[in-house]
Amino acid sequence: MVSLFPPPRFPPLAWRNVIHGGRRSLAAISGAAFALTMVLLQLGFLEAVKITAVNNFDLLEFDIVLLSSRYEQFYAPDFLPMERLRQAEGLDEVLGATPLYASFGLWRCPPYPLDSTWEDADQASQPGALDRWWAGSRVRRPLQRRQLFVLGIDLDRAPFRSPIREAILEHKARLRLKDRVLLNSLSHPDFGWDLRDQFHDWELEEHSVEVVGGFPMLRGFAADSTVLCSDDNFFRLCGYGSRGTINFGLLTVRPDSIDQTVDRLRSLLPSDVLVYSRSEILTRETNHWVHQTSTGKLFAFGVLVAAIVAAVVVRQVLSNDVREHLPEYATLKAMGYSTLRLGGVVVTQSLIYMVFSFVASVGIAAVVYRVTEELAGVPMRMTAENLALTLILAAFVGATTGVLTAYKLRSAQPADLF
Amino acid sequence: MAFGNKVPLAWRNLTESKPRLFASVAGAAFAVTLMFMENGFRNALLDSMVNVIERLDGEMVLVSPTLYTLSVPFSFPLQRLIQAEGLPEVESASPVYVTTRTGYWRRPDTGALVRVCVIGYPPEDDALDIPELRENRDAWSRPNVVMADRESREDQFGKFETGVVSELSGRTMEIAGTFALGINVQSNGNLVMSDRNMMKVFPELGGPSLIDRKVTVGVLRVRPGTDLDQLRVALREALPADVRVLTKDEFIAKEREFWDKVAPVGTVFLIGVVMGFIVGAMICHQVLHADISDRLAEFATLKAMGYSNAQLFRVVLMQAFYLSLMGYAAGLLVSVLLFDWVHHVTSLPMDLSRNNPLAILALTVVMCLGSGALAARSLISVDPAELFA
Repeated sequence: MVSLFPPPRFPPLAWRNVIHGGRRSLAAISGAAFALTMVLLQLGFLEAVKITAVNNFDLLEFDIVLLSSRYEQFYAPDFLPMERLRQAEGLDEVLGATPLYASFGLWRCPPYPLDSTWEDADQASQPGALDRWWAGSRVRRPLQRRQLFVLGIDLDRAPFRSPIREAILEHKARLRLKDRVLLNSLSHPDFGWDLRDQFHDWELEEHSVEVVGGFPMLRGFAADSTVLCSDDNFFRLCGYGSRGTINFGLLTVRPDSIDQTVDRLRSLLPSDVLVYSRSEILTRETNHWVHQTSTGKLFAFGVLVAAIVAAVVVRQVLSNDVREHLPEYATLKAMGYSTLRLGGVVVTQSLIYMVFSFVASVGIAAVVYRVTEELAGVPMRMTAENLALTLILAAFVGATTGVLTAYKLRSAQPADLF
Repeated sequence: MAFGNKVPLAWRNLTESKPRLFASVAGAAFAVTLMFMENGFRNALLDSMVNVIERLDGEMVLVSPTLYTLSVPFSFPLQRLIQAEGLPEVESASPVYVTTRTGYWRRPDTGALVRVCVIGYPPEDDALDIPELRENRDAWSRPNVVMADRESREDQFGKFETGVVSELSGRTMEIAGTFALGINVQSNGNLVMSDRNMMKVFPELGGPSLIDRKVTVGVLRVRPGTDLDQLRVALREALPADVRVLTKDEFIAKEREFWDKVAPVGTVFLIGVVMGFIVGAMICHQVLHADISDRLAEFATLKAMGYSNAQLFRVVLMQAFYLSLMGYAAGLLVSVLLFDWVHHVTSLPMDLSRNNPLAILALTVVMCLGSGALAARSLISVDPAELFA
């Protein structure tokens, strides 16, 4: 931008204004940086909703999924007949078809310390996220039962991608035994992953089960933990009366025939099933969590409010800064700087502030993201898209404020500016 | 606005330039709005999760010992409620059945099946304290009718209106009337029906006989003047360990505690609130600091004129105080409008008065005074002559 206004000087005036501003510049940068941090944080929350919406499907290996017509989202899938999966399997394009069973089940969460009893449950209050973080497993917590999500699979055709695929392979032989399960190693601390070696008879629904190992699966807003077991164990543990109903039908098809197979399945199968390709179901899940749930809507509002506040604050910070520099600008004008050139300095200076603020906000946000991940157990990722959005917001407000101020300088007489 | 017989300097400082006053107030106002919103989101979560429990018309409740949130209903046998009713202190005991995962409403216009929260109880028991449900008791005592929550999400269920006929989990149902309850973060709509209709639609709630019906919450009305703690002890002795006895307030507190402390969404909103306060405070500081440092020269003049440090300090603090009040008032106004909008879009309860308006006011004032004091420090240490340099 500076090169538009010859002769170029180095370092440019705007840069030197910022650097020599000292505490004043620091105050401006920190004010804007905190406002931008808020934007990044809210975008991160919304992103967490999106990530957890598709995360489960991301872990599964499939090209096309068959779902019940009552399907709402991954954690409320309802049932479809096994027959539909068999019908789909009959198509030439379909290379593999495997069911996935999914249901909520009641898990007995071990107490801390292990000798506390049901009696304590009425007195004790839940430790909050901060207590857990400070005191960890030293926080007293009575025995309780909580629901988690139970997944049942055909062990020989496990529809999972790495690294869960490897976890299943490793424990395959033991999972075939009665009442053996894998527990999500990223569970909420309540579910006792850390205590797995100190405990023997774990309890799932009304059965005693043994935890033979773990698998990593991100937690979401709907379930705090997951267990994985063989289909035989699943039927017994979750009380499925017949093998005639499944929750998800996962199909792998010949490469390049996905769209065509989806169309064929839609015309072939009755209306009690929904047929989605991988990309379609991912879109549907994101849409459900962001637009159909209150959680998604609240976080979207958070982004909006934070963006407005940031815009106001950035404007405030920059116009303050320009006001403080007014005498200098007046001097420049008296020295013969053209209004255009002066405007260039102001706008450039605004943008330099914004770049510094943005970098600082990314640093602060990275810390807050880690804290949120640690305390709430939801995935917080700084995506390039969100970074770009925040930068664009900052640059846009910075540039418009700069231009507006420069416009005001135009009409001013150098003498008045003093 | 004047203090003593002196010129109201702080007030004049602040109001001397209208555009600048506007900018400063706007900055503070948005900081206040940010705090209100983050708080409001968190309370919307917590308040909405207890909306059903708060309407229970009774002083004590029986629940399954396993129950940790009403969104994941666990049950106990109806027999316990009959036993509890036998105690002399208990005036009446009504069963409330809740299902959050198995009720599907067919949206009439699109045919889509949408999950809905269904609450059932004997209509004559008035277990929920909602006027429309009490007044239309006869209407929803009939077979195959439901009462529908007007505040359910219209974009998912279509409009809930009296006379609409559709299907609930495979059975034809007519909407006999509507009421206002409100949705929560876990469910987007509510239906209320009689216990008899509920057993027909959800046979899994029944058992081999009447006393085995699976009750989610037992609502106890106690005789006036009963000591609740004594009654709790009496109920514990009279009933087996498969039920837990709670006062209504304890039940509300337990439900809130779960969503606040255990569920990830509560923690996320809490982090939002904390960051909102930090950023809000930073913005207040920024606004005030700029305002004071702009006037350093004028303050130096006053100092040279013989104003004492204490007097100057007071002017700065007064100025900060006025700014904080104006910023708060403007922020409150913006928040009222925003809360209304969020409520309109999400149907969640957004109640400004439950968002610690006084705490936020106190914080705004303290922040502004603190920033004022920080800014004023430079006035005190500095020689008037130097300030002009």
